Amino acid sequence: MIPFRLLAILLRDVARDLLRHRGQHLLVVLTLASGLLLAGGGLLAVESLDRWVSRMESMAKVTVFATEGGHLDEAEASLRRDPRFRGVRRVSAKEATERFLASSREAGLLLESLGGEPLPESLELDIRPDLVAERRAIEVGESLRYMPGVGDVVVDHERLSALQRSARVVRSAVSLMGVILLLAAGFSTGNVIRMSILSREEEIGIMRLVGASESFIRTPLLLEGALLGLAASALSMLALLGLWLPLQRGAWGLPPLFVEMARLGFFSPRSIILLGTVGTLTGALGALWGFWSTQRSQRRLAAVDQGTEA
Amino acid sequence: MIVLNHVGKQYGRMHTALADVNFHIQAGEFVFLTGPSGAGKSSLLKLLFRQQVPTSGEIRLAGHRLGEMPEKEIPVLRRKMGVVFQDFKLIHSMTVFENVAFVLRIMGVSFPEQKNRAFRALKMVGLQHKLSNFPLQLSGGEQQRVAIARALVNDPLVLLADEPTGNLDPDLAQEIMSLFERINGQGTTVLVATHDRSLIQRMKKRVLGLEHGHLAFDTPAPSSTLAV
Ligand SMILES: Nc1ncnc2c1ncn2[C@@H]1O[C@H](COP(=O)(O)OP(=O)(O)OP(=O)(O)O)[C@@H](O)[C@H]1O
Ligand SMILES: [Mg+2]
Repeated sequence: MIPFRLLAILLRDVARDLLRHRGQHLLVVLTLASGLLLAGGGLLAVESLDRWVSRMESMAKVTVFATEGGHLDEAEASLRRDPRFRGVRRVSAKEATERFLASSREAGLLLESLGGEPLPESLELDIRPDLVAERRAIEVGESLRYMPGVGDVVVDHERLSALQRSARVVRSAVSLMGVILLLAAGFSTGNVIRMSILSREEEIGIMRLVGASESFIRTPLLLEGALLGLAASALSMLALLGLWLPLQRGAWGLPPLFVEMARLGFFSPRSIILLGTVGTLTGALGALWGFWSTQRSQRRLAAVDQGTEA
Repeated sequence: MIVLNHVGKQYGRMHTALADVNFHIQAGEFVFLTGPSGAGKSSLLKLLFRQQVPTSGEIRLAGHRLGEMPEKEIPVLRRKMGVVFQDFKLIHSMTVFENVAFVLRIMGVSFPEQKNRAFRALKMVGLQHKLSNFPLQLSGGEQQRVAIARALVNDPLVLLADEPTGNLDPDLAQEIMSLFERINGQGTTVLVATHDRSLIQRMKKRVLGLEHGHLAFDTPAPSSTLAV
């Protein structure tokens, strides 16, 4: 009962204080939100890239094409028994042609220029997960080359590994930038909060004079900082949502790759929690820093007042 | 209640604000502290609520030895006291009501009770109609009365007031003094620093006189009013 009441009092005090110094607090929220907007944008980009790459990975397969005019009946029968594959799907010449025609506007012309020859039929093989790694997938592909009726083998994983490599590079570059940005934003926000607390230093000094204990002064400041940080996180995520929504609808004529990546989704719950936590912590630490600064300058003033610092 | 033993206070190496001050104030006394400007009145009061520490000597107040008191205990001491500062020290971003209620908040008093008591304190100084004004919207005298209300609201053991009537007209000053007498009647020990001689003469209380940091005289109250 009593702790509840104290909490209620504390929260009301914090709310009042937030309102009372709203000008400074708006500045704090905007500073932190703009830093979080950039860092969060990086996070979103990395997350989308990861999603895109893993989708590509899940779509990767080994395709076995028949020789010209040949058939894959025999190969299919033996591949269906082959434990290295989880699934075998036969794509008839007709289906292959339809797919090709659907793939682009110029496909029809292209097909015509090839003399209307039908595309070869093929088998799409879904490789067992433990064989997906680039080297092994290629080995598997090679072993299929000499099966009866097989003309060509295409291993998607071969191309995918290049994509994975560049994704790794992009990911670490953006993450590094994000961390640096976040540190800078955290520092400048901490500083703004500190200044806003220091500008209330006289008031805080008076609070001490009328008997407020250090923790009585510190607790609401800390809570305020945390709330401001949380608000900044929310604001930056809303702003990112505002950018993301039109992007995934294909606005601004951005390259289709971006649009495609954006369509894979907004922040995951984990990232939302991460951003929220980072914002809240930054706010709280900034407040703590500000509070310490008032303690330090209080001591300095006291020393001057005592005449011990001549 | 308040004991000073050979108390000295120096600012820096050269300036002596107080030198070898000795006196004893009983619980429930009403005492004036007087002396010309710069005599050391404010310095003495600052020592009493541990805003400063004496350079030499010993101070005891309500069972605390102020010289050796750890910093953690300072708030505990201050919550037992009410202080009217010479420069008011009101919190400008808080309303009059909030300034007064703040002292109660510190003590963990429930909000309805804060409201009641702060309102009563402000009514005592005649400011119940300015509850939601900010200090800077008030005259000097009104600000001073807010400071007085804040010092009284927690029913302090000891009330220290530094020139509490400095900005008030004589009628209001008299009213505030009557208020202090009433508080004193309820058991609060009162120490008022002032150089208003007529006020001191009218009040007929014990008077401590400072001159150049020395205790120059200590005149007891005329016996007629001792039995308040
Ligand atoms: N923080 C300080 N540093 C240095 N000297 C100080 C400080 N505070 C006060 N003094 C000096 O100590 C002496 C006593 O000052 P104090 O403020 O106690 O006087 P006072 O009796 O309250 O005067 P007044 O009636 O004008 O308020 C003065 O000479 C003043 O200049
Ligand atoms: Mg003074």
